[in-house]
Amino acid sequence: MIQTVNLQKLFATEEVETTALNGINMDVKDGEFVAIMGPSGCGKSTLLNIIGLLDNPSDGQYNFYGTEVSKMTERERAQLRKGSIGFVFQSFNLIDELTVYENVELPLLYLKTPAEERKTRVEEALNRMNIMHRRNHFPQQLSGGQQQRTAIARAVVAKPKLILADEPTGNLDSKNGEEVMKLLGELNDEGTTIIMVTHSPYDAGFAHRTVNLFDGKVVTENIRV
Amino acid sequence: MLTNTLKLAWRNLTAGGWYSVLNVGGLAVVLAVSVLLLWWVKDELTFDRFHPAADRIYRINSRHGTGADEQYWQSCPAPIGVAAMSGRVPGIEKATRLAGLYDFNSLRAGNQTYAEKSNDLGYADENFLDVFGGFRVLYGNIAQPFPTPNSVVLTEAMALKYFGTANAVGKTLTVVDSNRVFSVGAVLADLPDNSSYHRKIIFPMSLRKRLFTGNGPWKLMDDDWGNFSFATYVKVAPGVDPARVAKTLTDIQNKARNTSEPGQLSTYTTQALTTLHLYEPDGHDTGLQQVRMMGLIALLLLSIGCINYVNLTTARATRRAREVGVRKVVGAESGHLMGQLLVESLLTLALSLVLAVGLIQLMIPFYRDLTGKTLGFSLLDPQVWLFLVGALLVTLLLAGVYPALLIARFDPIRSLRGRGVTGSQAGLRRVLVVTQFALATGLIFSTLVIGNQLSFLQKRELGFNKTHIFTIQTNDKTEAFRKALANESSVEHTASATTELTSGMGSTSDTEWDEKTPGRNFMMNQMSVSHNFVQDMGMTLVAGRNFREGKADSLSFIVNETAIRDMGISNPIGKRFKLHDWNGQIIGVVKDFVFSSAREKVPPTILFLRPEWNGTLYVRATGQNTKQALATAERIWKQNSPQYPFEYRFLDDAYDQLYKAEQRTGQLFRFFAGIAILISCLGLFGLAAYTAEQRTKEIGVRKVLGASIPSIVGLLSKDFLTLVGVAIVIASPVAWWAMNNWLHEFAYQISIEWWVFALAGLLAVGIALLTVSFQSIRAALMDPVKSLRSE
Ligand SMILES: Nc1ncnc2c1ncn2[C@@H]1O[C@H](COP(=O)(O)OP(=O)(O)OP(=O)(O)O)[C@@H](O)[C@H]1O
Ligand SMILES: [Mg+2]
Repeated sequence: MIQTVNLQKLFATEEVETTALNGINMDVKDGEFVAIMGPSGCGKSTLLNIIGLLDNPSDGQYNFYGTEVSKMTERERAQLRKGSIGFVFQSFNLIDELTVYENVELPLLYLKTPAEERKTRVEEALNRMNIMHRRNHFPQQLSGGQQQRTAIARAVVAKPKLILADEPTGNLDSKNGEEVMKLLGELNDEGTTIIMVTHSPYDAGFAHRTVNLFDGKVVTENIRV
Repeated sequence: MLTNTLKLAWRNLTAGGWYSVLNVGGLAVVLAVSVLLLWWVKDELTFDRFHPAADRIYRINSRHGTGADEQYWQSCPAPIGVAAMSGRVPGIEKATRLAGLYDFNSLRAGNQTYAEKSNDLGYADENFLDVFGGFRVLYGNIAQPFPTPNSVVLTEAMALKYFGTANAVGKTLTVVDSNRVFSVGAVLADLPDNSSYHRKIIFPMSLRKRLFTGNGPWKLMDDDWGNFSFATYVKVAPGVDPARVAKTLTDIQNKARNTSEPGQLSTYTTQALTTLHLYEPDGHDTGLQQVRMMGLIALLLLSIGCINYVNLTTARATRRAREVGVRKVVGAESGHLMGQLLVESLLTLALSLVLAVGLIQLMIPFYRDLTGKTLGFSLLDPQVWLFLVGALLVTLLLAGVYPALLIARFDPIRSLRGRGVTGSQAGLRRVLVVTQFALATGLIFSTLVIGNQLSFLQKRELGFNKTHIFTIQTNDKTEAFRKALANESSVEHTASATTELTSGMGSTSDTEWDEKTPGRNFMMNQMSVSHNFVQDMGMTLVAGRNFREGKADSLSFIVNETAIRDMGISNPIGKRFKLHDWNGQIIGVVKDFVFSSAREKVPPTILFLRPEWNGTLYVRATGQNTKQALATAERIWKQNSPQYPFEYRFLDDAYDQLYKAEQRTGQLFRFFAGIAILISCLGLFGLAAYTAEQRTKEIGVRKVLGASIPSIVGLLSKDFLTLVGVAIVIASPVAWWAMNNWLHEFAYQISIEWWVFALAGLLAVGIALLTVSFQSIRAALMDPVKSLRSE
């Protein structure tokens, strides 16, 4: 259960003050698949960062699975985030110095999962994302699609209840993009809540509903029928 | 987790390429040099502490005169030692005397004759090993190293030299002069480097007593209050105030001498054994100053190395920002990241340490050469490792923690965009570059000043002409030698005097002149010379006349300018003067001539004719025939004294020796300044490379838009040169102040001129420019299409 009330986000630099989010009210239920759309610069990534506990809002409330988190410190957010949220980015954000296997293993290491279990779960995730045969490769040795599958494997390996994806298909061709969307759809079918930012109406079609942002505000919501 | 961390740290290090090479290499050099330096400092600070009761052992110093005439000597007359050893002075547990040995220097073992340096020979009271307690006895009895009056104690090296074995107890050594035979009573382990006592052939004090022939009213050595040549050591009982002991000894003297002239009496003071090496008898911390300087340089070098590390690591952090961001997003806490980064630092440092150990091995011969210490630094010594690991931990603390803290705190959202480093960190980097270059500039400046001062000392007017002169120790055969040599064609002049000039003259307070304040204890150097000495050594008479040959001038004195000034005599020529019991007059004033180290002023000095005192022959060869003159001298020597080896010394060398300490300081400074500059440049080189790398895209765009190569080089170098400029401005006054202080140690000093600042600054800028421009030019020459694509 995710709920935001009148969420505000201001970015103040020396010259200008940007209102990235201007009163966002949003509810996401367990097991939902929500797409966020809107023109560039309307605040989609900013919203996703706050939902993902990477950032704090300037004002408003944010209830994350029953906890009010809008005033939490970075340390507290990090604790809460660990193991409960998986992230997928447009630019994959894999660590170049680590192999596919090690990248996927990383969240479990930080959760101090025992070695035995770690191995099973990493292999499970790799198999599932069909990337097992590349387990000892480094990210630069992979195609974009393979990199994004690795990133998704990393996002799901800790079995989070929430996956946040920021334009996950943005850097992929349509075939690889399709594959990624199917994987996200499958994960959602198994009960994982997914919030995804996208520019593609086609991708948004995989979601239950689409939230449209404009200038930091929710303008419309379409529900898939 | 740990293996993962280590693995990643290793990969990061190897992926760093030349960056890691600079980092590891720079740190290794700095660690190696500063560990060696600190080791030297440690060595200096632990002098004489190997004696088990070192903190209860004191040397008795004597104080003479008052006010401007006050002098401290590190020795006492023999009766002070007698009193100290008598057991009747409350507080003294034990006491012993050490003395130099000048009665002979030729020894025979088997049928081989050796001429030993008088520094290696000495006398000691029979109980000296027992009193000090720290000299290791290999063979023989510590309580009785001299079982008979004809015993001698040797160090292991000497035993090996004479007899080919360390176990030399009972073997015999003959004093060539007297044919007296001594048998080895004990063999000591070679005295440690950090012992301030380092004589190697030690005869019993009883021998000196036997050789004593009387001094004025005193018929026995142990009654002689006039000869201050006994280093007297007392071991006090625990808790005893050494000042009380000194006071008692002074009282004993005053009672025994019962003189009407209190000005002639000395006061005794104590100096702790552990301070002998670094402090003068008057409490002046001459030795400690150099130790401080070296310690400071070690710390400076370490900080320059740390600054490099911090700079390179934080610069590289920009590159790692994304990685850190990703880690945070997948669940890493700051603590995890700190750990990871610290492990990386530790790995880098450990590698540097391994390299440093290698470097130290390479530098040990050089270190020995430079410090004059023979033993000491061995990698088998656990203390050395304590040092290395200590230095490593300090470096980790200084250089590893900050970057780790900084990087671990990166904001994940910003870092994912590759923007970990904020303006303030770049600001810190600037501060560090400035600090580093300020240190380097300061060292360049100091090196220049020291170099100038040294060449000034070397070119200093000595007040006489020392070229082509060699001296021979001829003792009582001086005049015979002189006559034999005087007519040789290869010899220009021959003269004689009590001693060789730089080896120190005796001093005396037994003088009188008309204007002298009653009771004033005025110390002056005295030396007997041959009548032609002043003239043929090329000294200048500023008033009066030279000595004449024969007996006529046996009560005439020539004094130097300083003596006239200090005594306060006006119109000295013809003035009555009494030295010892020779009542005579001043006939000449000689321009000051130099015979002591540059730190001291030329002391007041008196010359007189006392041919039987002239044990040293001075031979000036004609320019081209020095070799021939030496050969002739040797031939004549062999004819007259075949039982002694022929030994000579050039005055040029002797004077060089006077400046050896300063020479060494200069050498050390050049070396360390070089290292500091090198390391600073490594850092700057790395930073410049990073800046160029970060601005690759900008440079590409500028080039596409038509920017010229020089304009881009300028763009990239300007920032750094500004920093170096700031560094120079900060460093100059501080370095000036420090060097001025150093110069004050010298009685004769240069003044620091403006061009030294300019040159130091120019050098710093030049070096920085060279370093930075390499990277800038490389960046500027890059193919713009490539650099745009790399983004
Ligand atoms: N760190 C920041 N400092 C200042 N302004 C920021 C910052 N991050 C975002 N903004 C501003 O906030 C607004 C929203 O940015 P955001 O990245 O959320 O847009 P977006 O909807 O994700 O756009 P896009 O579709 O292009 O990714 C923009 O106007 C942006 O300029
Ligand atoms: Mg965005």
